[in-house]
Amino acid sequence: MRRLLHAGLWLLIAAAGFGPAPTALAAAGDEPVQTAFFADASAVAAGQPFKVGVLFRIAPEWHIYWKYPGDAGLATEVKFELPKGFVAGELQWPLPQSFVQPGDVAGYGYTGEVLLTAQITPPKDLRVGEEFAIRAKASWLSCHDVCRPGRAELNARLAVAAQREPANGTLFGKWAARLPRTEESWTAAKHLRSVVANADTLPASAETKIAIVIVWGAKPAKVEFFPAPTEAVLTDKPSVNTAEDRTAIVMTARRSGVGAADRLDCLVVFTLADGERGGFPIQLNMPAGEAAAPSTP
Amino acid sequence: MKTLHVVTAAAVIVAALGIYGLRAQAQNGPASAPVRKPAPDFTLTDQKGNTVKLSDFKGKVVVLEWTNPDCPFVQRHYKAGTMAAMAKSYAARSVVWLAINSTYYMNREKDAEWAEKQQIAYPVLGDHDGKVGQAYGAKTSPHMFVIDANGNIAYQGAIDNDASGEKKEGVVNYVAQALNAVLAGTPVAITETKSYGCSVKYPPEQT
Repeated sequence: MRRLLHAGLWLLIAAAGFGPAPTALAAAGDEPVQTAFFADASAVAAGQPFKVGVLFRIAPEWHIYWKYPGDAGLATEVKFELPKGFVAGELQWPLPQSFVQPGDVAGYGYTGEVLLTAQITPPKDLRVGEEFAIRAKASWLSCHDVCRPGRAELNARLAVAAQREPANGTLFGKWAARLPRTEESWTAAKHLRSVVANADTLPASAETKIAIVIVWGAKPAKVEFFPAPTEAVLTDKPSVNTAEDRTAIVMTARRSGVGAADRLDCLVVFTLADGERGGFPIQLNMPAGEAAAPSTP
Repeated sequence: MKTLHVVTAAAVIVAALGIYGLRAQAQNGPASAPVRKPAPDFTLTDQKGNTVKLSDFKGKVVVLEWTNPDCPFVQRHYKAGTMAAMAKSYAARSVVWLAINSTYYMNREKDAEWAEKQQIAYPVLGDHDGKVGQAYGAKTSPHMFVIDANGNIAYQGAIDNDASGEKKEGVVNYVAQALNAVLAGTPVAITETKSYGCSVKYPPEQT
């Protein structure tokens, strides 16, 4: 076990090519997913935000899931336990991949490796020379032919300095480049010309057709659409069709009757001819309508 | 992220469906069998070799439970006794409980072995070519369907609202809610949820 752990650690550092050792490494042996916890600073300064991230290394042919897993699976979770006065931002999810599983069961997630990050803002009254601990609790479902739930508790100790001392820049830079960006930034970069959607009120009980038309600056090689509904909304598999410089996305959605449906978050991912991927979120409003009409038995 | 303008729904839909409509329709995957519509009939063989036909239960309330002995979500519910306890308590009210295993790499021997190990009192139906699973649009194990006495689907989706099995309180069993309503002759409040679990392991050649 000890030898395995060391081998894993060494491989991790060698493969990813970043300097300092991860602050923690969990899981070894035949578990398909190994996790390690990183910070983008070896020492932080009072009041200055820094990032932490859990790196998931996933065995070949296995995958873990995005914040919305698709038709099956389970969202990966990372929760941070912070000292008093520290505040964590939202978990940042790199662009997912889609897997079509036999029987047309859609899955959204990651293969190979992924770094899930969050920004942490420390309090302003930290004293230079102090040390503090951050704990990350990660849980995931990995699937191949079968599925396996996994979990890890990872700890990091960081020092407080007068100035932030950066670390793991290559790793954090690589994964920051794979996060969704705003629609406006792609428009400014001339990749995108317009996005038009009809997000009308979801009517009671019946299905609504959601239609989105995207006009590109240049035709992408591939366009993917990832709905991320809350439990309040059910979506069917979207159809995505690209012709010339435009993409039409059509998807049916309906209220589940669980919770309140006021919006539907989606993600558009495009792949350029050189294989480079970019993505932007689309938030569809769903003004409060009547709750789904109860069925009569 | 700016909020998208709600333009006239008609204009966008006409644009999207008009130009791309036919291909869009063709590429849409099968949705789960719709609620309030007749449940697709099927004839399957259980772990003991008995033939079970859904339409033979007309007049009774039926629960379908998509299952897979290899799936950790199923294993968690069997360890907790969720399905056995519900099947037993609702059997007292004449509810028929049927488990369906659409896992392509299993067979009747495997179903029998599992049923014996778990001491399952209800039929475990073998659908190892996935045809019934596809007719219902079963996506996960578990994926639950409640069929009312008229043969219509009254509920489809998750067993409960606790996908990770870690809720300490506030667990809502959607199947129990639907069954109670159907048996009481009152409207089912929540007719559809997103099922959770492993993907149903359909035969690879079907894609």
